Amino acid sequence: MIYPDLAFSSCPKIEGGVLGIGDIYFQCRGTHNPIDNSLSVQDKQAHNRGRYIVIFILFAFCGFSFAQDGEQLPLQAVYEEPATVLWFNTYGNIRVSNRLFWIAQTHFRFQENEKTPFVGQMAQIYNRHAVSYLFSKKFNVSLGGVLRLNYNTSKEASERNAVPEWRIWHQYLFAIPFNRLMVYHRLRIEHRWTQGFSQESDYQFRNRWRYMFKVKAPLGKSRLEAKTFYVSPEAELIMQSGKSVIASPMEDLRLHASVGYILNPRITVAAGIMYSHGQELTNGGFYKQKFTARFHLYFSPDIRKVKNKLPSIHLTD
Amino acid sequence: MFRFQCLNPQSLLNGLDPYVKVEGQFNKGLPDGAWYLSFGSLSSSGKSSAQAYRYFLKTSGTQHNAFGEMKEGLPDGEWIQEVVDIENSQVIEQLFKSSVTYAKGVPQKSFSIENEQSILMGRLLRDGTAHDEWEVFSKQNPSEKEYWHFAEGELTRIVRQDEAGMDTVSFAWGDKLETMKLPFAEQFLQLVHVWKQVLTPVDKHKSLSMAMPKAAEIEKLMTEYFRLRENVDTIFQELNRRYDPGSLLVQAPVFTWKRGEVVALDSLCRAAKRSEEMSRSLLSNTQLQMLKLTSEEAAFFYELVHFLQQTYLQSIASVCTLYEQDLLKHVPRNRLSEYLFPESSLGNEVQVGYQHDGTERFRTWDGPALQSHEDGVDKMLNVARYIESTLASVRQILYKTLTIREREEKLSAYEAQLIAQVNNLQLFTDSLILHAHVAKDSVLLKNIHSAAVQELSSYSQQESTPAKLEQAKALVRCFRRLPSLASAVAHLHLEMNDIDSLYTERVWNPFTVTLMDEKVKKRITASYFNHVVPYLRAEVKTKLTCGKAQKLAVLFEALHKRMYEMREEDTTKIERKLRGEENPQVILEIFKIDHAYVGS
Repeated sequence: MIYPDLAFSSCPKIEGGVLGIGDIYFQCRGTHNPIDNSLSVQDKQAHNRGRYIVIFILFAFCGFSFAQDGEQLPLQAVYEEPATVLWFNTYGNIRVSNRLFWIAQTHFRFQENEKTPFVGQMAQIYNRHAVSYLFSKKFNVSLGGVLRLNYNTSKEASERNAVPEWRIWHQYLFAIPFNRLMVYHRLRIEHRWTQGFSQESDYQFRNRWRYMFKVKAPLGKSRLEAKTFYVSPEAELIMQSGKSVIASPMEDLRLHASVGYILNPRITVAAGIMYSHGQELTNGGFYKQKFTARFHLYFSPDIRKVKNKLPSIHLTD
Repeated sequence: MFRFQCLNPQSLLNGLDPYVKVEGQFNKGLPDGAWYLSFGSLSSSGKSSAQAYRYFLKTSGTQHNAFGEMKEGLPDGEWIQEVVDIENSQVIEQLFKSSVTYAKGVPQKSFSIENEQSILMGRLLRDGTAHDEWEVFSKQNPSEKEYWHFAEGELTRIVRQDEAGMDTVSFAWGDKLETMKLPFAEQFLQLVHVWKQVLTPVDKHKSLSMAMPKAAEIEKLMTEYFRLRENVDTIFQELNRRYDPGSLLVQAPVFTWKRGEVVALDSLCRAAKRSEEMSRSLLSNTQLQMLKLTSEEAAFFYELVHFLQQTYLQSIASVCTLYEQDLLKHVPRNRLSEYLFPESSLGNEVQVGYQHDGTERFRTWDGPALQSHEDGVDKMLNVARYIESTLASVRQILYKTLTIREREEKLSAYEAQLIAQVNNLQLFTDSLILHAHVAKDSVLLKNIHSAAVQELSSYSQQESTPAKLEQAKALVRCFRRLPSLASAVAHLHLEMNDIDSLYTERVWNPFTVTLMDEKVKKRITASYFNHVVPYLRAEVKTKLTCGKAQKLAVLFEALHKRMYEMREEDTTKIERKLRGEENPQVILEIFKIDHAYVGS
């Protein structure tokens, strides 16, 4: 007898089905944190009892394929019902010296609940900071950390409502100017430590490998300048790796399109809609989907003293 | 033995050598004994010889020799002075000779003075005073004689006798007159000459001649004698500081000054001086000389001034000369005034001739009139004052005419300049309008030209007055500045672009990874673009006058200069004050622009 992976133990609602002849599938319905294993022991046992019986019966008559370590991949990719999410993001890029910038970002991320789409509940609060060094107009490098507060968005109560997540990140941004628009290639690597909502939850370490392709094109004008609307489509692929990442290397594929308005060189606002989907950590055969409404505020003050400012970005002076 | 010689052979060889030679003796430090003085002006005649180891050079020229005896530093005995003409070291002619006898420096007894033409023989009393009959007769024509009769120094008469007859001038001034001893010198001869004139009855104005006629031989002889004697006296004065020889003396009558006469003479001479200055300035005025060619009135007045100068001023000047030489007291003023300005010549209209249009014309002028009981200096003073007032009136009229003419000429020149300036302004504004960046302000440029035309039109409607000349000058100055205003307006658009660029910074946008333009000091630029520039444009467009044009041109320049300055300054306070301010005048004050423009 092979018992199911404890990964399912935290799923609030398990649905089952038959795929083809002899193929039985189980899926977790509702918001599911694949790494959240903070349910109580009693809950787990209650869940397990019911499942063991069904599974035993099914095992008696059917055959299953298993992934390593007890993951049970479906025969075909299963796309979960898309969730609606709302992001309010502030992006600060504060110029400290001619080449040094202080990246200060604060993101407020909401997600739906049973009653309210998009803004039903607080999901995460991001606080991302870094030091950025401007090598040239076309290349800059950033290094910093992230403190993210993750809120428990599941229906099930947990020992902790919010848990911190720590990251160290570094980024390599390449900008390619064209006649009217700008194209960006962004490589971002994150090293994250996450934990579940239970008190005894340990930190799990993973790496994130992110590549973003982004375009910014002015609307109605020949170049990106103050008092100009622009459109900015972007696509980002987030891959993950780590001991806990078995069959779900693709964490997220994000397709985002936004429209922004450059008030002046120091303040820009934008709004957009993003579609993303990615593999569940617990079972790479299942893909979560989201529609995210994003609202951004970009600000870039210059705190250098006037006399120290170069009249233009004369990096080679 | 004393010998002094000043002889320069080199000068002699080169041309003329004026030499001096003095020989004599001293006794107890004073010249004593025989003395010989020689003054020469010799030149080499080119002939020479050598003898006894000496080189002899022939000379030619004139030589003045004086010799006689000195006693205790003064001439004593006969002194001979002669001037000889020398040729090749031979005396060919005696040009002058005088023989005067001295006793302790005082000339006395008979003397003779002769030159080539005449001989004067006279007699002196012991004190050197002229006395008895002095006779002058001609060597060429013995029938020509002149006798000066002296009575103990007082000249009583001069009798001139020639083939035509005898002419006597008596000098009878009256017995009760005081007399005064005068040296028989140039001044006495001049006095005699004046006496002769004033004693001549006249019925019309006569000028007083101060220059002695050349025909008076006695004056010639005496003048030459005095000149030669001065040479000798100069030498002896150097040798003996106390040398003070006596002179030939005469007794001259002294006509006592009447009460107020000296004061009147002072006034007379002052008036004469002023009149002389006025007449000289008028007669030397080139513009007047030109004006008289075209203006009949100017021609008449010019000739009148000339007439007054010749007829009256010269006479009055000669009276003043006598007064200044202290000789006038020896001249009877009444006779003098009667001679100069006889009654019959006063109070008449005087015909003054002048040339105009190629013909000789005449106008009358009311001559000076005699006031009752006026004679002597008072009469001369009256005449002088009348002449002075006449000259002043003439000057006023002529200068006024000259001024008007000058003003009209100047006005004409200024008006031509104004027209040229307006035409040039139009060409200039038209050329500016052709430039693309001026298109928006072409109306303003046309308005500047229109304003100039309007000013010229207003000016032309004025009557010709002195004020019009001043206004013409002011308009010329104003029109001179209009091109600068036009240029400022034409360049306004370029200046605005420059200021827009100046107040734009390139800012790095890290989110777009691009450089972007950012406007700085927005309140300053907003005030400039939205309030001040439109205000200035409106001022140029409407109600533009000459006075405003200059100030506007200055304001344009000052404004842009200040905008450039404020870019670099700390303008925190200025920007704070500009908040909500829309009044252009207030904005200009906040900008701290120093200008004098007050808008409409």
